[in-house]
Amino acid sequence: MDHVSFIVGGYAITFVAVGAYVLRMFRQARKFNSAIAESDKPWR
Amino acid sequence: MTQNSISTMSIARAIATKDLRIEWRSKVLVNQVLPFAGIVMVLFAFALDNDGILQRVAPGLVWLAVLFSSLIIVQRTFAIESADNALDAIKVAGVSSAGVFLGKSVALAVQLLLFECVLVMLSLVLYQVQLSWGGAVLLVTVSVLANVGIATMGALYGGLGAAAKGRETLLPLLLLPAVAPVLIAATRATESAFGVSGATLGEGWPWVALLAVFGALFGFGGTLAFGVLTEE
Amino acid sequence: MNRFRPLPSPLDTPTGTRASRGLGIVVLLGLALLTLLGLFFTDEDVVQGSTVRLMYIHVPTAWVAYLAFIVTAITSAMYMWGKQHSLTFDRIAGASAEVGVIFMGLCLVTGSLWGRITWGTYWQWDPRLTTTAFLFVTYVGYLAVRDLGGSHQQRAKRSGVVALLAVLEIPLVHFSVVLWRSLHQEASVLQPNGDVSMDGLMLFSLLFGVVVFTSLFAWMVLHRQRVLTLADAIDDGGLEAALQERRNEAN
Repeated sequence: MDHVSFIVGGYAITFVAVGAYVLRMFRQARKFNSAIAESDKPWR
Repeated sequence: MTQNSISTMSIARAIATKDLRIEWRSKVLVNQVLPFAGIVMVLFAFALDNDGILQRVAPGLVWLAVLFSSLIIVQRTFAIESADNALDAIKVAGVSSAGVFLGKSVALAVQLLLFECVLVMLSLVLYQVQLSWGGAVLLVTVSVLANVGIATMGALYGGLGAAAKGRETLLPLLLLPAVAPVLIAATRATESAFGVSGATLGEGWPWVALLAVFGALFGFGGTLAFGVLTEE
Repeated sequence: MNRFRPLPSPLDTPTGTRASRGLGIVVLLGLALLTLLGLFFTDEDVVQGSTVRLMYIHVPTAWVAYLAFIVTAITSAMYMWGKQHSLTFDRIAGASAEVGVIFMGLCLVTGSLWGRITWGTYWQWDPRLTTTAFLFVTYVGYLAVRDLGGSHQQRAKRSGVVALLAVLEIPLVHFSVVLWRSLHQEASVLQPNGDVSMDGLMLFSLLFGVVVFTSLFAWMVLHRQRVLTLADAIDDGGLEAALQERRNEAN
């Protein structure tokens, strides 16, 4: 396979960026969670 | 309804004359912002450092200088309001926001026209471009229509920045991408007016249509949106 | 997932439900399968060679980015014209724009990697690319407007207007860029992706990628929208706490 670094790099950047965003989002959620009453979480 | 539309227009006229009178008396525009635009034109010459290239890209440089200056003019036109919360006072007085928006836009467009006159003359002198009478007619039309687009978008996003106090830095980020079509169309039309890059006069006029569409669309959209954007 | 793990993991989130976890697992499996398909199982393209492998993530990211901005526009309109002025719509619009900006950035990155191999340059002033870049900047601006402060309703109204203005702006930008490029068209180095003849497995992988990324988008927006709900509740709670403190001081 030619251009392996570009191709694998493209996949890696995509997954790492999405993963980092999701982890940051989850951390934020855990931080907020304890301060919020269950009644303010309609999905529960 | 008729009563209402008349008062919107008279508010617009009142706001526009007030703004222009303030600028006329303070002289900040003429003494500080206009020299800034002139310096930008000289700096372009330093940066490009080639008479031929300079002549070819002169239309784009003129419009870039107009856009950069418009950022300062827009910020100024709202700074004079937010200094003593005049926008809030106007809102409390129940003045129609459409009238404020149109007045601000007209005042901005007039100021921009002054800048374009000076910058075009500078480019004739500094960049050695030629302007025929037909080209001048095209250029005036382009300037007026482009100003409608830049001024309405500027009033809209400038008002948004002013309503959220201290966040005027947002203006370039919002305004510059939005007026990119104006830059493209005005630059191409000005190329025709200057006759550079092998462009003929006839090629310039279709771009005028694009500028007209842009101005009409955002003049209308802005009139509707301004009230919501500047709401407290 | 915390039911299976005694220790708090980075994947533990209070915004999860049974359904969202199920969707999340499906998406993870889908992404794994897509990677296998894209990197190993599919053949190289006759014309593009191995670079076609980048398409299996590039096309889905582009699709999701545009989808995200359509969702933002629609939910903004639903907020503006809905009788309730429901902040839920506003938060979905914000979550969708945020995810859209990420995918649009990734689309530009994977696209320029592809361009570097195929065209020899990272960037071409092609109308589609240029419009995409403008869309990216416009929605970065939209997210900045959401950050301006003020009440939640104020944020929703402002950003709603900006989102709807963007819907006007983008076609104009695209149209003017198309006109601009049609005058200055250089020798055609572009090979429109439509020319690529695709065999069955390649086409399947591409469509599969679009489906997987769309599910990923839905899952991300779902969670993000819930986090934004929590954040808004924190803001409200902070205000209430401050008011309560004032009242206590007064008594």
